[in-house]
Amino acid sequence: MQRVVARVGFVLGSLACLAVLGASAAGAGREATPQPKNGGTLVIGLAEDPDALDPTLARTFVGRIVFLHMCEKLYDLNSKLEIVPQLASALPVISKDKLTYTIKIRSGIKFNDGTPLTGDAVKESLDRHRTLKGSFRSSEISPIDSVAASGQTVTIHLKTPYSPLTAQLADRAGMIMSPKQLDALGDKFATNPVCVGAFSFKDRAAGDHITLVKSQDYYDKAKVHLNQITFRILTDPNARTQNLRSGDIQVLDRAQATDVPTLQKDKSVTVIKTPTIGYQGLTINIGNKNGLLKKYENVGTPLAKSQFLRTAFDLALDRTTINKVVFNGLNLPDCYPISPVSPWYVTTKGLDCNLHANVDLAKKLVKASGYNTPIKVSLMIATDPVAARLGQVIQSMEKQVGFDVQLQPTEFVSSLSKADAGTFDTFNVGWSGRVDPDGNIYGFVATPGTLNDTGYSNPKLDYILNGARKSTLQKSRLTLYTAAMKIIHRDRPLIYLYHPVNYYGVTKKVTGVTVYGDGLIRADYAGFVG
Amino acid sequence: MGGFLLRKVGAALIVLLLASLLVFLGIRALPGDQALALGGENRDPQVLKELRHEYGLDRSLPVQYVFWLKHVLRGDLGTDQRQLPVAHTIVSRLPITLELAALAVLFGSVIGITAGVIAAVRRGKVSDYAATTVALFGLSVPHFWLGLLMIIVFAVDLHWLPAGGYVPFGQDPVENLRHMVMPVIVLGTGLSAVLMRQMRSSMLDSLGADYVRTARAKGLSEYSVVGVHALRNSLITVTTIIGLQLGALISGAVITEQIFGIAGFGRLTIDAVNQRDYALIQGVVLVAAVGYVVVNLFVDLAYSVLNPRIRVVGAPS
Repeated sequence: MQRVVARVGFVLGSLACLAVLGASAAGAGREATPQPKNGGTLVIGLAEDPDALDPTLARTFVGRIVFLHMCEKLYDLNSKLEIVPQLASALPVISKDKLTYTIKIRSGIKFNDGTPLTGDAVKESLDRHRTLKGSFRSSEISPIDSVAASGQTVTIHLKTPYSPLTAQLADRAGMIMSPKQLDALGDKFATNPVCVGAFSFKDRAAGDHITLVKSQDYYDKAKVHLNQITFRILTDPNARTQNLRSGDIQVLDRAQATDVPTLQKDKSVTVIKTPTIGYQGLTINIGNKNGLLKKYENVGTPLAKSQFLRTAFDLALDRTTINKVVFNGLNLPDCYPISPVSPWYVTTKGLDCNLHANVDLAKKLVKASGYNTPIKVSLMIATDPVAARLGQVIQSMEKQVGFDVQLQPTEFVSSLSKADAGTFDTFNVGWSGRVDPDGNIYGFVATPGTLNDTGYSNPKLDYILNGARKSTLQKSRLTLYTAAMKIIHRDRPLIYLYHPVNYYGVTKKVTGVTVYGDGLIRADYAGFVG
Repeated sequence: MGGFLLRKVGAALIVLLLASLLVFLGIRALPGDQALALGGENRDPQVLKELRHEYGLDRSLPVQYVFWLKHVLRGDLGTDQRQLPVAHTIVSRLPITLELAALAVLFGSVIGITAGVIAAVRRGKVSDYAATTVALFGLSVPHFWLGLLMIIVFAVDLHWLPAGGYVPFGQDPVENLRHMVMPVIVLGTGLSAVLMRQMRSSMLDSLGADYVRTARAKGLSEYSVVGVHALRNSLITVTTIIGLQLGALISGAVITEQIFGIAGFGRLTIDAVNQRDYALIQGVVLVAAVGYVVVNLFVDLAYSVLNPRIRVVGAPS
């Protein structure tokens, strides 16, 4: 009962927090009433250097920020993270057997090289995403069997029903490239990408900057105020903060937690707080004995064998304290893979979540398990100081209930190799998040999931998740994901800890810069004021 | 002189070949699958298999090395993870670091040599103690701390200088120098301290030497004694130090470039390692090795010019 109260309290707290955020955003909107003037170069300080500027080959988060300004998609997200048409004129019409998606493309739209956007162009891009060697999109849209185009209409035939398709088309898989430029550059498209966008690619100095200039072919160019956007690569977080404060950049991508108070005190800067759709958690190795996607069988550790011990391990964690001690209270503690900013968060409504530890119950469960204490558990963590702090806090919390947690700081790529090979007990790792809940769940806990390092296999859960993939009705998907959440929370192949909250800095000389829950900086309609 | 040069160039080529082999094997000895680093959040086995094939990771190590070396000999360093040619990236970054290092050497030399000479000539006086104390500070202060302090004072508070970035000299000479002021001071401070101490010590030795006493006895002016006789001999040691410190300067540039957001060679190296970009790492290490070898070659040649006995003694009998 106490947990339910805590959970309700958390939900209400989150809603209040979001309401305040919304109000402050609205307030910011009122302050920015003066219309932005035309002209000027906006400099955005990015935390990392994007990889290839080719929607088919791109894989980095920061690359998506750059694409957002120069490569529009069939669908986009609105501030509530709902899918809305962008280059498509409406949401897709889905056939009764859910195997055919018909998409109408907007007329009169031009690529940034002046060529028209047609159904054939959409088909060419989708086919490239599906078939180009080394494509990172091919697995995202693998259920597509074929694509046909006629005039401004594109028909997508699926091998199997796949409701997350529209969400995939609202990301890089839905970006449409100029056929003329694809013909000219082929797999070197990244050297001079051309799409439909408010800005077009000008130049790139690897590791230094990417420059985009206002497009003269953009259908909504009247709304575009800036002449140019320069993305400067500033990987050092201190340097990024100081560059914003000195006025050398106007937008700061993801401030480090220790810099947030400094930025909040700076009167020339507005701090945008954005809870993300991603999560951080602990992956527990249950059945990954032979390696990822190989025959799953129980690894035989106490945590793998006993669902009650996993519950005890979870109950020993005080998520609120973890957030306070490790993250200065900046993140959103939670027990589920769906973030409170997602419209799908309702699937966790009324479900149990211990934001505070329940040490007594955890001790009872450990005792009932019959294992002698202390029960040794190794926890693989990253090598940075924050991960070390998190590991130490978890270690001390688990000690109270009889777990002896041994920390294994491991370099990131090595940790992924170990996770895929199944040579770990527990692993602290996160996920950047996807708009459709399938992207946050299926890959990790479904038996054929390509990220299922836990080696968890539950036919009932598979059935539910596959059903949710096939269903196109929002209501039935909500019901199915609620059922999935209950199973995941009961069996705990993953113990979710919190949803990261990102902080961005924007100088007050600029208006119109927004960040949604997907964490991407949107500055296409931004401008300088005064 | 021809034989001397030939021996040095031959040794340099062997060093380069060894360096290329070492870096090739070194980065492949790192734990973890590079395909996982390339794949990011996408760990679909099929995608990883294609990545291994695309980057040649599914071939044996000797085949990979020979394949890379053959391309290098043709001047092709491969393509990085951004799908951009490595050679072009390095060529565009190298002048930035070279400019930074050259200006830092200039700054460090002017300050260090001048302070060293003054401290030696005025040994035991206030100016000597002041110069020694400042040199100690210069040696002790960490680059990142000095850099951040300067940014906060001169960029954030006073708005006199930009907090970072780089503008090519050809595009805007004034802006180029404005952007370079703080990084050059940060990078050159350590060098100036080292040079000051070395210069002071060498000058003291020279000023106590017989030939200086003779010069004074001949009635030469103090300027001539210090500026011509003592200084020239002392510069031999300082030249060695500058040559040796040039390597340290390029290493130091990694931190300086990171703090000031300068897209130079140092930052490129860090980024390449962080991203496990094999082609880029191999390219930058090879170019860095070439740089070290060439600098050392020039230092050896400078020795032989400053002191002709070196090439005579070094010649085969």
